[in-house]
Amino acid sequence: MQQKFILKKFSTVIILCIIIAVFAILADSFFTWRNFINVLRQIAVLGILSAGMTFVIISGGMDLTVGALLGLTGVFCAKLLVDYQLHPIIAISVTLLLLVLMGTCSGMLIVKLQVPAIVITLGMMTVARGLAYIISGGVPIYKIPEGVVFLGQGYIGPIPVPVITMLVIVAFAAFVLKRTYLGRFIYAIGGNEEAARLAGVPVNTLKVGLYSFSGLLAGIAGITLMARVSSGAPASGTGMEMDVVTAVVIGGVSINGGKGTILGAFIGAIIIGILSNGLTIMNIGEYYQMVVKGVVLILAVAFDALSNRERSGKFKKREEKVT
Amino acid sequence: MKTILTLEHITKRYPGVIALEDVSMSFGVGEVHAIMGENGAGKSTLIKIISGAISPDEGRILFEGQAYENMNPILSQKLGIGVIYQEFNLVPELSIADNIFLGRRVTDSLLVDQKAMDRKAREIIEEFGIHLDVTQPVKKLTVAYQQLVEIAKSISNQVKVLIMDEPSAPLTNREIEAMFGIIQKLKERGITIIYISHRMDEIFRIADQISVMRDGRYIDTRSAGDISRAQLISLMVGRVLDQQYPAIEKQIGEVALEVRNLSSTELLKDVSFQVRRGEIVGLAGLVGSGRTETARAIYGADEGDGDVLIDGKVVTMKRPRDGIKHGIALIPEDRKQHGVLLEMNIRENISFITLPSISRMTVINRSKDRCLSLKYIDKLQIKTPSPEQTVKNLSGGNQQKIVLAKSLAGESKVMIFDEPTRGIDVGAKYEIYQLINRLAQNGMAILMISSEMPELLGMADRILVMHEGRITGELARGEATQEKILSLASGQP
Repeated sequence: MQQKFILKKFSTVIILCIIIAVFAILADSFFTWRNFINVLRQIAVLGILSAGMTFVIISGGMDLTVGALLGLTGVFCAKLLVDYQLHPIIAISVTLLLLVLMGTCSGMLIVKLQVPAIVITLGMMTVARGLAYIISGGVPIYKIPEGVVFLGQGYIGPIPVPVITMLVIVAFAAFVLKRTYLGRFIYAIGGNEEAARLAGVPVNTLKVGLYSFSGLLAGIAGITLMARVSSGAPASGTGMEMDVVTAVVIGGVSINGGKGTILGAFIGAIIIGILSNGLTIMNIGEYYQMVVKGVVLILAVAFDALSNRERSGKFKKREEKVT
Repeated sequence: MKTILTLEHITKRYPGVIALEDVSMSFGVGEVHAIMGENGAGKSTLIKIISGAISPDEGRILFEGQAYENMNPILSQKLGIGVIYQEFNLVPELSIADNIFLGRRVTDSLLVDQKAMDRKAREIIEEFGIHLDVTQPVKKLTVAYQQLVEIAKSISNQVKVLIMDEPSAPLTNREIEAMFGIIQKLKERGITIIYISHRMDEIFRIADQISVMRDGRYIDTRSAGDISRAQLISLMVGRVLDQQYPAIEKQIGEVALEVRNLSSTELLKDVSFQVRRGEIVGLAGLVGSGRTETARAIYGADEGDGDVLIDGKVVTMKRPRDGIKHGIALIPEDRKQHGVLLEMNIRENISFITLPSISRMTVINRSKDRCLSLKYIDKLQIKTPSPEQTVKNLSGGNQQKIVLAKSLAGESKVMIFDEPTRGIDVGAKYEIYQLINRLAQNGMAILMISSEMPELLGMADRILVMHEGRITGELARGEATQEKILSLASGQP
């Protein structure tokens, strides 16, 4: 019984180790310091978005807008920098403000209308993508100034800037979730919203705040992405929201809310990164990679579901009420 | 009168509690047979056993002379036993006709013959002299008509014994009259109606036979014409009070909580009362009388008109945070749904309400967190190997203690308990009574909602009784008896 418990808790890490071991054996250039840095840089955007998505999902919600927001961020910021020649700090600040507004908008619609988050964020996602194409006229905007490009392509010491951005955000998010009472409130809302409300948690305010935060993180990730490819492309991040949810769920965050950790989500993102990195090194095509990604996701949730079922079975027997 | 259904020595046990003990009853063809008893007498369990939703540990069911030891819902329906539960089993988006024939075929072919279904549905309903558009979705109907659809559903199943669980609860007086007319028609067709209700006036009007249950036991059956209301109440309540309640010395101080003219649009009408420091005020009443609604309105969990005063000052209660801020704690009726956070562990649950006070700039002070949980685990004698134990896995009694600890940690002045010992075994019950008494001794003002008579009589200094959203009476400790409480709760002054 004890062993099963340990297995469950560290299952994500175990999966990661197995995958690393497999690739280390099968592919030559995989197990190198340089490759690991590569992987981290490749998943920087995914990692940042995973932090925000984890908060939202643990609280019982869902944010499908993040992919589209990446594109919107890129073109909006690029436009401010290139067409309006704004100073980078101003351009970035205004962009982040826009993103927070978009997130808040999603959050308020979800809370006020009491419509499922999936539906609202699906709508907002389409709106955001459309806006991105409108602002950019359908084509990428080039010639991002040097100072900004540093955010995506520069290094501080041996570590790429995007990796530092990601690590800072992940560390901050993990701290908030684990050590502050806001974190507890988030788990409570996802676990049992009515009980949280009765205990005095400002449920609606907090829920909206989580979507605003997710928007902010999408903004930061979007700027990093724009800097990385030196352009604001309206198609950036298409489909990314699916990868983020995949990463987060592999990392042990329950889709139903109430369970999961930032560290787990981060490891989930790393697993996705390593899968695609390892398979690419082994010359396995992009389409096969998609299949592998999907299979890993299903395996991860199947393991989680099966190990939970035994517990809930026992729980049901004790549950019978007396009338 | 020919017997159609007989229960022989039915016993049903749950961990720590005997829900039904050696119950033997019979029901005749074409009679309206009421089953009466207080909350917790075992009526709902009995219905579930008859319908086969649960199996008895001992005993068997005889239907039309045939014995059945393993009744299940499919079999009971085939035999002709139908149940209309309080929460209807209708699909809101489907039409009346679709609901009546839910899950069954009307014709032999694979394709759905909507016209045939609609026609048959219309026929059934018109036999009651009612005309309805059977193609409209059920969600558009009033509750009374929805109930009719449920009845029609049973009829289409060729029901012989129809069990109705509190059928008049959601209906207006006019609709109740109409329902009585329908019951009369069913009776004329030879259908047996088992009618579960608290409402004595209705029972005396509609029932031929009245059976009484108490504490899981069958007491007696009498003809409606042969028994008076007072006698009926006696039968329902007449038990020996054998449980000891901890006796204490305490002082009763000033008014801590005052409620004035509390009303709500749905149920509450002009509820006013006071609770003093050190006092335990019991709140009695039948299911649906408005006790929980009153508690929630005071706490701020629901909207209500009227005034709530704490220590003499009027306070606004719009959300639970207001309640907490002003020192009111609510121990909710359904601890699993509303009281504890099942997925979290003991420590996280206990400190939950007071988190801001043990945190600095939102960061939780971990040692304070741990100390708090250890303090209350000790104080309330919560049995667990560690504070990190997930609450989901604990017993009902321990979970209730955690809900209590959660509220105590918040340092309140007024505590409202809603069914504090429901579903808890005898040993843990006594511990909770001791805790409540100690709280009162220390000056806490306590409002205790309970459906268990002995509990109210043993613990409360004063008992307020509610009926249909109003307070119908107040009984002091010395003068309260079970009969008086039940009378007031049934609307009999």
